[in-house]
Amino acid sequence: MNAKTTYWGSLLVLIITPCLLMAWKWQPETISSLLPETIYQVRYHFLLGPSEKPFVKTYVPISNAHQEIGAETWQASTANLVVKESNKGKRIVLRLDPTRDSTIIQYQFEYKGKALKYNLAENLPIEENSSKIAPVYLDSTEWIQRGHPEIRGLLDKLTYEEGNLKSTVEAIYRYTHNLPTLKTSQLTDALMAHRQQAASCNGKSRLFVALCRTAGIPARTVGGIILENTEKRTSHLWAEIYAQGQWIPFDPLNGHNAFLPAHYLQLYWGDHFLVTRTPGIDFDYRYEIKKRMRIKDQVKEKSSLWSVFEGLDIPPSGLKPLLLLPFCALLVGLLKNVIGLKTFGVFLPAIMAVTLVNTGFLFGLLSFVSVVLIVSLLHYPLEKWGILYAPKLVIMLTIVVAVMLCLAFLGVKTQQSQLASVIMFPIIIMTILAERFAKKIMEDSWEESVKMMLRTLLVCFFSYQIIKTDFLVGLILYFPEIYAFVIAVLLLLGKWIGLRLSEYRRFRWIAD
Amino acid sequence: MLKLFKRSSQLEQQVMGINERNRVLIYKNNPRKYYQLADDKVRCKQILDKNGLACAPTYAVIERIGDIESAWQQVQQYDNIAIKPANGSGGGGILILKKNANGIWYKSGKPIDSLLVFKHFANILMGIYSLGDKDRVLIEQCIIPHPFFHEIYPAGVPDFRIILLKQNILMGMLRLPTDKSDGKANLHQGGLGVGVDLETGLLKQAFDGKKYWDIHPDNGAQILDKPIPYWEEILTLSIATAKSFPLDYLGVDLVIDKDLGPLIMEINVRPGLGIQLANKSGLKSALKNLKN
Repeated sequence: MNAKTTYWGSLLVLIITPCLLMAWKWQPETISSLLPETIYQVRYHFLLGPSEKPFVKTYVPISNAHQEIGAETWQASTANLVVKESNKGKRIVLRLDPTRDSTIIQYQFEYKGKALKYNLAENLPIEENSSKIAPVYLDSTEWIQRGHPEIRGLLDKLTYEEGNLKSTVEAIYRYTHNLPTLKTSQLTDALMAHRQQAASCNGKSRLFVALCRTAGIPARTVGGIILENTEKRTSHLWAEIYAQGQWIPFDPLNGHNAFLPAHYLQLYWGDHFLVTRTPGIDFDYRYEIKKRMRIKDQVKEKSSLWSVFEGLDIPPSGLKPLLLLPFCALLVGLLKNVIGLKTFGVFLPAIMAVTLVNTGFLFGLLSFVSVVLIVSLLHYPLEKWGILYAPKLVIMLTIVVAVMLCLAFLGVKTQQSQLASVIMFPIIIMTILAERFAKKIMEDSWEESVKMMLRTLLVCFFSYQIIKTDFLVGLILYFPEIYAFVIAVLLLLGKWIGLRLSEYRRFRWIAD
Repeated sequence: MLKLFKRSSQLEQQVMGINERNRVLIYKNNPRKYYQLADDKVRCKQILDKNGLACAPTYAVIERIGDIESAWQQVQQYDNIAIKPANGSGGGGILILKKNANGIWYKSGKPIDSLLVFKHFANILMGIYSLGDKDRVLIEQCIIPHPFFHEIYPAGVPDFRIILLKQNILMGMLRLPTDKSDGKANLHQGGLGVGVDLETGLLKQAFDGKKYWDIHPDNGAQILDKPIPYWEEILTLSIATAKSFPLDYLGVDLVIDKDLGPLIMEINVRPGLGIQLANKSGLKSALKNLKN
């Protein structure tokens, strides 16, 4: 057999076999199950100073139509734990050992949320609605001054169709939403929010509820946390009205109208405090939130690859770079041979992209590049002194390590966990990049070297976009044979001899 | 839009891109095991000498640290020497030394201690210019360029690049230094690429990366239509060189010494594509002409 036959034969096998395998495994619901779910790992972190009767009370989430709570764990030394469930939510009371100096309490769970969208019917009268629910949701309270003359006056000024539920709620929502936002965590009641003509989440929500109740619409506040991949101390308050036999959410601060986003963790219903504790003691708290992806069960069951990773005990976020690296490399190959984007090292941008997943793209890229630039400065004296190649690289590598340790130290001291995560950067890749960058400046020019670096970063950006695609992870786990396509495309690319896009520009003089 | 399309397809017809050069010219014609014959300057010169092809006379080759002193003694009889790493790239590690009437060696007009020269030899041997591999030192006669070059530009060493396929000349260019290129003649370092009319041996326009020039942009010296001395010899020497190597696609670099005439300086297995810009015509067109 000559080379031509074996080439086309292999190519055909690489295309047809995976097609057959995929067709055999295909089921109508396959596509929707491939996209991994987004979940959040949430951890309450409380620190209590010494006291005679130390206690903490806090709300913890329950599963419902909006949220799925799992993998709950408590880590509270010497804690005496009582659970109280009511229509306010699930409340935990912890009584602590008074003999201890200070106590750390950690409570952790996994959250999976679903966005909920509601539609208010057009011609629903207010009266019919309010009779079906406990009158407490129409009451005036300390911070929700239903029926107060000023609140009533305000309601009268809002334009809506008298007695119509939808137009009343929407007028109230529009008004509270458009009220200027104050960045404060202080308690603001409904009246104060109105008098200040500005409020934060809790003032706006209380004013919303007070106006609804004044108009005769049952309403309440809801407390929770907006989940983001970060560490925070602020909780959130939004509102609900009762209509059509159900509670319908409104967030006047962030502009959600009859809509509850998937990342709104619900903790309690009514106007309460998320955490209460022994008065007058030292107390510190934070909520640590990590966004994670989870492979769906349908994929796990079907995928033989998944069982391998499960056996190795690697989390989905850890196997992502491994699974997606060939796709990144394919992209890099296309950009090089078809577009003509020359970078430092062929695969270097792809490997860079993999590491940026842990740090976030922009921040990671900036710190990556600054370390590289700092270390590349070293090249000058080393070259001047005539240091041999291998020792030179090792010196640069040592300095890379030192710079990274400094950054990590700085990150820990200033509590910037992002900065501390530079410790995860691939040291050898950074060293090689610094050496190549410095060498190119000496051999070529400063401008060429910077251009090459920018192209490297651009390709890194594209690779990062691929790594971020969760869908591909599910796809590969379900259809590992897809790698054969990657090889097939590369075999075709390897035979392609057309002009690279950049060469049309480079040789433009010749066509004149 | 139509014009753009026309120009693109015109380019595709004429110009050789990197993908095509690698697959069609290099992989098909140059077996990898023979790359060393061209890449290693010492081995390359052995082949040139064996076949009686003109190149700068070799004064000494140093293989081991222990040979440094005897080699240095041996080259004391000469006045102009060039010291090169056998496997250097991009002109790295090249040291040009000249001796004055009192027998003292000078580097760029300043006296140099022989200990420093020894250190340079040792650095080359330990592979500082060849990415960590052990290397050899080549000491050869230093070229004094023919007045033809200095009529155009008075500094640096300009050279010719002739590209051949299966012993047929495809294209040629002259590389000239400029004020910006700091004595170097490489195109991407700011040098000028001047196309050559293969039939007549006359220079074409010079290209500096942005513009084509009839004269040297730094001093106004005439370039266009200037006749190249020894042109016939250059052609015959290139073809003879191509015959002596088991590599079918080659870039041959030559200089013209004021006393010795045309000399082969280097053989390149992966000659660049910038020569097309210098000639304002594509290698594909040259290949087509060859077939006809």
